[in-house]
Amino acid sequence: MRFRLSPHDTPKIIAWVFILGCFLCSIYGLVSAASASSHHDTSLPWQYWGEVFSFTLWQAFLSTVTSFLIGLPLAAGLAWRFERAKPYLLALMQLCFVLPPLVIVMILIQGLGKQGWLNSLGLSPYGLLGIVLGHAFLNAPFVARNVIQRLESIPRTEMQLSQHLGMSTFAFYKWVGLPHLTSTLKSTFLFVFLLCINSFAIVLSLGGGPGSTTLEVAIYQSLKYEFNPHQAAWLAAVQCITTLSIAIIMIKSSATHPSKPECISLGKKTKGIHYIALISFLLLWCLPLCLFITRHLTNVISQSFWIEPLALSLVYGFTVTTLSALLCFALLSSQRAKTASTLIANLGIIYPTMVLTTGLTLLWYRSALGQWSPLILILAIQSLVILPYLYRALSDPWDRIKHQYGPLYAHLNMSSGQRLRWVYWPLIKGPFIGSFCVSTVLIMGDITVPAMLGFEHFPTLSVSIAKSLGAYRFEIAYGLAAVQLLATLFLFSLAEYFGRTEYANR
Amino acid sequence: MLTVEQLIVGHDRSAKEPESPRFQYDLKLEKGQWMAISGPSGVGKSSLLGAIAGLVPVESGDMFWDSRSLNSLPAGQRPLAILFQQNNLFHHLTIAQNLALGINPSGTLTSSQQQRLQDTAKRLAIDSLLHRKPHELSGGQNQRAALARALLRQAPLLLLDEPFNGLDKALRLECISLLEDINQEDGITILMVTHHPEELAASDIIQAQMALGGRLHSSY
Repeated sequence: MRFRLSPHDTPKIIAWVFILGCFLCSIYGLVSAASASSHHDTSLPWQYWGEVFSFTLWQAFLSTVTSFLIGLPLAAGLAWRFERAKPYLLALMQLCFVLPPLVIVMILIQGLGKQGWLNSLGLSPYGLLGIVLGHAFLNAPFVARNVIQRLESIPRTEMQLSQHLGMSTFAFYKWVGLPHLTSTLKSTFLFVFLLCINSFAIVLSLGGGPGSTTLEVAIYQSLKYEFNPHQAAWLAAVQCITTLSIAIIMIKSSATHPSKPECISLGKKTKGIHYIALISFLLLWCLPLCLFITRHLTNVISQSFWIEPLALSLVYGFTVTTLSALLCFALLSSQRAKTASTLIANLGIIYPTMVLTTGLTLLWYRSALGQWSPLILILAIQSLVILPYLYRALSDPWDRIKHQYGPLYAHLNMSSGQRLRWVYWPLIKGPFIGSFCVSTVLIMGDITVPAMLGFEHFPTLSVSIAKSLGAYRFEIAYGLAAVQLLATLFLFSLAEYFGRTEYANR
Repeated sequence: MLTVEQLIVGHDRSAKEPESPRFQYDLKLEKGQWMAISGPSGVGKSSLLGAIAGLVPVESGDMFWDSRSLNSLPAGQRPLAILFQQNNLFHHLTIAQNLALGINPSGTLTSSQQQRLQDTAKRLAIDSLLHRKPHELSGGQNQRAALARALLRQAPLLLLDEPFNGLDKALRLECISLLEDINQEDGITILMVTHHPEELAASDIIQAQMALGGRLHSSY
């Protein structure tokens, strides 16, 4: 393929260099730390590694299976029913998926802990059970949402045919539902599995002891408590290979999802079982969130300790998302080498955040930059972590606009600025503001990067919660979590509102 | 005069088929003439219009308007207006904004340009629809709006790529009679692709058949 450079490609090339530069630096940091002879015993503790590795896979497997065991019946109960409430139900499920992990940790501790509402059950929120429950709380609604959307996009004629043939529910799922669902189930399973392997905040706060440490947490502990970069680098390599192999399987088996499910109503009767599904979703997910807010927000409102972390979280989230959006638009700006751009934008999914952060941290503190505040580094890493999400949200509408109006604006001799003003911005601002808000929520909820580079630089809400938890100041942690939950709800509602305005004026 | 000389349009890289066909075109059209091209699908009718408009890349050969080469001009600066099969209007903008962008891509107009917009809208009977958006209009009204924008570009050459395809016969005939006025009153040269050559009643329209590879057989 001919590849001549033109001035139009400059933003794209800058983005490529920046992104690839960060990932390559991270790999270099890891390799040099792994090969450096340290004062530590360089023989590797295989037994400890085996335990960590098998626990990582085991907890991820259990979490994924639990998410499916809860998510599938929920989906079967809610699909094709509650048509009017459906958009809100799907939005709530999406909200559960983007909730800050530490807020979920707080709800679990609140519910199952010593003074918890469910303490009488005798379950401990710590250890494997807590980790699995936390992951299921995040991911089960995500599974349900994917399955509902896939089920509801089954062609109308097939639905009518199965009704005409008088299929029972079981026969319907066997002959019609399952064949449509197979690829969605496979890719969703692998995706949730990947998320659970890469989960940090939940495992760090509910596990972390001997016997319940995952690779992510082990990397963190090697660097932060054992000061052993050698071991951290090796663990990071194992983590990277593990997630990479799952990502490759996932990409190979990835389903082509229909972009817009046609919500069909077949006049099916809503029986008791569907109400049970609806009520259990509301009870298990929405009620704890509401109770948590109402209980702790009243304690917080009269005090002021939460204002600074909240303001800082918002500024931080906005800054990182803006940086990431700039990268995203630079990658989208020209059509050339599109596949390569897509791959580069998605490196953050394949290459675990913890590994990226570890490599860059090791390099940063070895270099002359080490004496400076790592703020720039934190911003850069976070913008790469959130880039796959933004790219996925924006590349589709961007390409659609280009395909639909490309010949017309070329013919009308519109300059880049005029295209942006008259065509791109009016059509993309809905998805843009929507994904901007969600990405701010995700960044505000993340503690992986600040944890690795030092909490002291970064008293955001999540970091303050983690600090208060570490110091056993539960009341403050609860209050901050309630504030964060409210901020998440607010930004998420904004996202839903603006996300829906795409092409709304057509 | 429009002259197309040994113009070769290569295969489209974005096309799914590995070997999409190449087309070679030769064409002469006097000022003020009207040529209607018909033929089976896939012979390269749209590619010819796209190449003249600068929207489809050209491999070799050249084309001229009044002995001025078009190849070197970017799409937006060629002395022509084109109507596509679809997506002729920005659906999120009002008809007035769509027309204004045809006069000046910045969208801001002087008062005389504003007057010209009003006059053209009146001529095509869409002056009462200017504040509406395309989805609030009928198919025929939308095509008249697109035609109005093409006229506002004040280009001597008008390229039409089956623009009336989605309309019923009565509306198509209405649009064609509009075109006849434009052709005769303004002296605009028209090159159009159509599936309904029989509907073009005027005797001075050059009817041309395109065969595979882009060869044209014309007859008066």
